[in-house]
Order: sequence, then structure tokens, then C-alpha cells
Amino acid sequence: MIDLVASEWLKLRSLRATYYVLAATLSAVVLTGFAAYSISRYFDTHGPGGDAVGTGLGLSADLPPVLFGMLGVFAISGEYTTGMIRLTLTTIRSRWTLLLAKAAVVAAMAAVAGQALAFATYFTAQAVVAGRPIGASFAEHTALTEVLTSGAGAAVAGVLGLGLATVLRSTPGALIALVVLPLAPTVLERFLPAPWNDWVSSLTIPSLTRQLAAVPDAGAFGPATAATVLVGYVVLSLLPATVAINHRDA
Amino acid sequence: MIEVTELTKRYGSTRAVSGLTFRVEPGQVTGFLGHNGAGKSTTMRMILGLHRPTSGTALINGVRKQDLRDPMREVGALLDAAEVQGGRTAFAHLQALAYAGGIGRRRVVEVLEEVGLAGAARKRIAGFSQGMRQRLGIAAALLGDPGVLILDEPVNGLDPDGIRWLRTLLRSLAGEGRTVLLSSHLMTEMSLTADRLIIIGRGRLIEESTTADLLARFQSGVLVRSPHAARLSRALEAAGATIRSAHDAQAVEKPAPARPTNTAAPTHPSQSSRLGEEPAHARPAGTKAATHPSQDFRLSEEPVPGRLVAAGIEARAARDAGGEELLVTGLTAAAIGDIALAHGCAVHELVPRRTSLEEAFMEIAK
Ligand SMILES: Nc1ncnc2c1ncn2[C@@H]1O[C@H](COP(=O)(O)OP(=O)(O)OP(=O)(O)O)[C@@H](O)[C@H]1O
Ligand SMILES: [Mg+2]
Repeated sequence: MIDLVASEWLKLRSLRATYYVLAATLSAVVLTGFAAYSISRYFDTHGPGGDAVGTGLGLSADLPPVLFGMLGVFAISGEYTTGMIRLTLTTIRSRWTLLLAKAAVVAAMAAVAGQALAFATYFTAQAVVAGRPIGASFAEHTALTEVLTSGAGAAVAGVLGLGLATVLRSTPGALIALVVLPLAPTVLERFLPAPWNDWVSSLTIPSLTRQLAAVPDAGAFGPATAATVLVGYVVLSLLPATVAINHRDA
Repeated sequence: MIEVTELTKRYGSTRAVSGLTFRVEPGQVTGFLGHNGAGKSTTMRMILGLHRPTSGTALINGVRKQDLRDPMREVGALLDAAEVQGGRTAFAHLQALAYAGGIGRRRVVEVLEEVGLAGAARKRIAGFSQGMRQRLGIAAALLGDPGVLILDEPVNGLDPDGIRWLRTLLRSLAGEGRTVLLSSHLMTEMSLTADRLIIIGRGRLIEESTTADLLARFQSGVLVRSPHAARLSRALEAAGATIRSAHDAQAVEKPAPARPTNTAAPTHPSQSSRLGEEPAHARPAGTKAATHPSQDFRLSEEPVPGRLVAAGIEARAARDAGGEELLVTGLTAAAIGDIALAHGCAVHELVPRRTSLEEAFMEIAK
């Protein structure tokens, strides 16, 4: 298993798509910067009462899960589209260990990159806010935990992408699913009656990481429930993928 | 050792492989032949545990591929050299595979050198030529120094040096007691490389025998060029041979002339053994009687294009050199020489002709 993780780690590192995705996550920092700037200008002209920047993470929160999901997609979809999966599978004992090794390296890379991105986003937002009372500070407990749970969200998104790509075996298919799935709760929320809409909108990955950090008004669930749902996503992503990779002809 | 038993694979309504049974023994290079779509790749994919057989079993060293303890060290495979991710360098590609089997960096360097890609190790695979990819695929198969090698058309795209190198490599690997199964459509190369042949058609076994036995069965006579062709012909026919002049062989459209009655089946192996030609090979042990093609195989009635082209070239050469050329079946070159001497006929050329594997294959796998 350690051998397989080393192998998959090298594969992920030597894949160009990995670097494209990581570079693209910087767009979240840039977007947050712009949004924070615009909110700061509003504050300067209209005074308090408008939106707050807070940690800044919320301003671009929808972006990282999609991008880290892509990291997971590319970790296996290239093997399927080129057919290299056949070569890979001839070299290993059982197929599910391959999936587990891929999940481990994707989760690790997404967690580290997602964490770094969250810090970069936070500090960018605070730099733009420049001391106005609309920002946040690590002195507040929830601000730090909100940043620190972002890595977990990125890891879950990465594994979700990996699972989708394994089941669908198609890069475009997995990418489409990756964009549509996170949007689904936001769309459904508008149609559902009272407690349901709140629950459904609390199911998105960015919302769950905030609930995990016990950020006030982040959603319907407490940290424990949020953690359970996030773990549930990982299991729900990997179970069908394991069944698929084990039972289908490669 | 590879054992395939009653292996069947259906894709929807397509029967890719039907009740296939054969063994690939260690210490030999075994060639896997069959027309496009015959089921070679499908069989290999099942042996390698990539596709699940509809029924039957395929075992490597007595167990299914999925049950091998250390797959990379037991079996190495090249299925399709194009199936690699181009963004990686050759080194990273092999290193990633090597890690999975707990194989060190030294071995990666070693195989890169062995396949002649040491200079391209740090280049991205996307820029590789077809032959370079083929070499990379062979390198991947060799990584674990496995006892069983399964190679699907490894020769494609290799240059003449590469082909010769691969032939030498596979023969030496088999010489070390390894099991080597390879498919190819390049018959000349196959006849040089493979000790044994497994021929399939439409997913079924057609023939399983040694290369030598197979070719011996399709022995196609001796070419004799003599300025006394007419006299020699009569003498040879009297000795029981069948004679065709090179002109008959040349005439592609024209039906072959009626054969003398005393030589009913000149290519039948039992007859050639009676005439002292390699009796040990006359009836191959592994050959199934039911699929034995020689009974309904008539050399002169169903001309094979390849043979006629060859015969045409030889006939032209004979014309250029003067003298008439005869194609003699039913006698060995030695017997022909003795008869010629006894009858005082000069012989300018006496060449035993072996049917090429291509011709034999075309005949068997029609
Ligand atoms: N994945 C698949 N799905 C459906 N049909 C398949 C699949 N793979 C192979 N076949 C069918 O099975 C048959 C055998 O194909 P296979 O690739 O094994 O032939 P082959 O002997 O390797 O041919 P070639 O010499 O062209 O490589 C063909 O009719 C092919 O169309
Ligand atoms: Mg094939």
C-alpha cells in the first residue's frame, strides 16, 4: 500500500493538469481581493451597514471545491482516456487499493493546497480591508477555525472528483458532474419548503466546512453533523467507484 | 506458464473468444497468431485479469492474475504502447510503475538502457515516435524482471535494429526459462522468433504446434534448374515426384495442369516421412487430427498469392540465368541430386523451398 501511494504520488506530481488546477485556484485569491476591495469602497462611502468581508473565504467559497474536484478527476480520468489504466492494473494486486492510494494522494495534495489557498485568501482579504472594522482577525476563534477547516473541504472535493471520474470514466462527463452537483443544492433550496431548504443549502462543501468550524449562521448543522456529512461524501464517492473499478472490464 | 482453459468472452452479442484452450510453456517463445479481430488481444486481456471471462479460466503460474502475490515480478505485459499518458517523462512513467511494485530506481535506469531509451529518459513521452513508445512499453514489461511476458504486437513500429534486438532479447529470456507469449502479424519475424505457435480464428483454436512442425507440414518441394529439364523431369517423375515447371507456377490465372495419378497427395506429411524428410517432425504431437489441414490442402490446385509471387521471381531469375526451372515435390533435394547424377543431367540449382509461415498461416487460418 505504501508502494502504491508512492507510485500515485509521483503520477500526480508528474501530471501537468495538476499544476494547471493548482494555478487556477489562485483565481480565488484574486476574486476575493476584488470583492474585498469593492466592499471596502462601499464602507468608505456609505459607512457601516453594508456587507462585511469577514475572513474573506466566503467571497470565493464556491470556487475551490470545483477546482479541487478537478484535481481528483484528472488523477484518474487521464488513465482511462489514454488506456494506461490497463498497464497500471497489470502491475497491482487488487484494484481497490489503487483507488484508495489515489484517494490518499489527491486528498493530501488538496488538503495542503486548499489550506494554503485559504490562508492566502484570508491574508489577501485582510490586507485589502486594511484595518476597517469589516474584516476578521485570528484573535476571534471562529476566524481561525474557518480558515483551518478549508483544507478538509478541499480534500473531500478532491475525493469526490476522483470518485466521479472513476465511475464515469470520462473527463468531460466528470467535469460536468462536478459543476452540476455543487450547484444542485443551491437550485433545490429555492423550491423546497421551510426546514428542508435550510438543510439542503447546508449540504454544500463550503457551507459544511463553515459549519464544521462552528461559524455562526453558517447553516443548519453543528460541527459533529457537518463532519459526519463530509465523511459521508467521501464514503459515497469511494464506494460506487470501488464497485465500478472492481467489476468492470478495464 | 500460462494455462487457458475453455476460455470464452462475449461482448454483448459478439463472441470474441470461444472455448479457447491452450498452454504456454516456459523456456520457449510462443507466437500467438490470428487475423484481425480473431481474439488475441481479448485473450491476453483475460489472462492479465483485465477483462473478466464469460466462462473458463486463464491462469498464470497456476493462479489467476488477481491472485498473484507479486504481480510485477511474475508477469510483465505490453498491451498497446500507445496507451500511455504523454505528459510524463519516460523516466517518471517507469518510476511510477516501479514504485507500485516496490522496484528501485536502479532497475528503471537499467531497463531504459536495455531498450535503448537512456538518452530520452528525461523527455516527455508525447514527443516519442511510435518505435520509441514501443520500446518504452517493452521497458515497462521488463521492469519487474518477470518470469512470464505477454506482449501484444511488440514489433510494430520497431526499426530493423529494434526488431532484431527484440528477437534476441525474447529468445534469451525464453532461454533463461521464462514464459514468453507474443502476438504479431509479421510472419517472417514470427517464424524467426517463435518456437511454438498458437493460431486462433474467430475466437477458436485452429492450430497449436511447434513452428518447425508447422512449416514442415507445408514443405513445398525443391526448385531444380537444369539445362536438361525435360529428361530430368521424366526421371524424377519415374521416381515418384510431382513436377511443375516454373512457367506453370508463374501463371496466376491459369489452373494448374493435371497431376500424374501416381502422386496423389504430395504434401501429405506421412509421405514426406516415407521419403526420409525429417520423420520426427512429420506428425506434430500437439496437432489435433480434426484440424489437420494437409488432407484437403492441394498445393497446385489452390495457389497462394505469396507463393506465386515468389515462384514468379524465381522463374524470372531462372530465365535470366538460362536453363529451365522445375518445382519438384515428393523427393528430397538429396534424392533429386542422386537421380540427376544417375541420368547424367547437369543441375545448376537445387534449392529446397520451405513454405513461408505467411503462406502456411494463410492456408490454415482462412
Ligand atoms: N471492449 C470490447 N467491446 C466490445 N467488443 C470487443 C472489445 N474488445 C474486442 N472486441 C471484439 O472482439 C473481437 C476480438 O478482438 P481482439 O481485439 O481480441 O482481436 P485481435 O485478435 O487482437 O485483433 P488484431 O489483430 O486486430 O489486434 C473483435 O470482434 C472485437 O470487435
Ligand atoms: Mg489485438
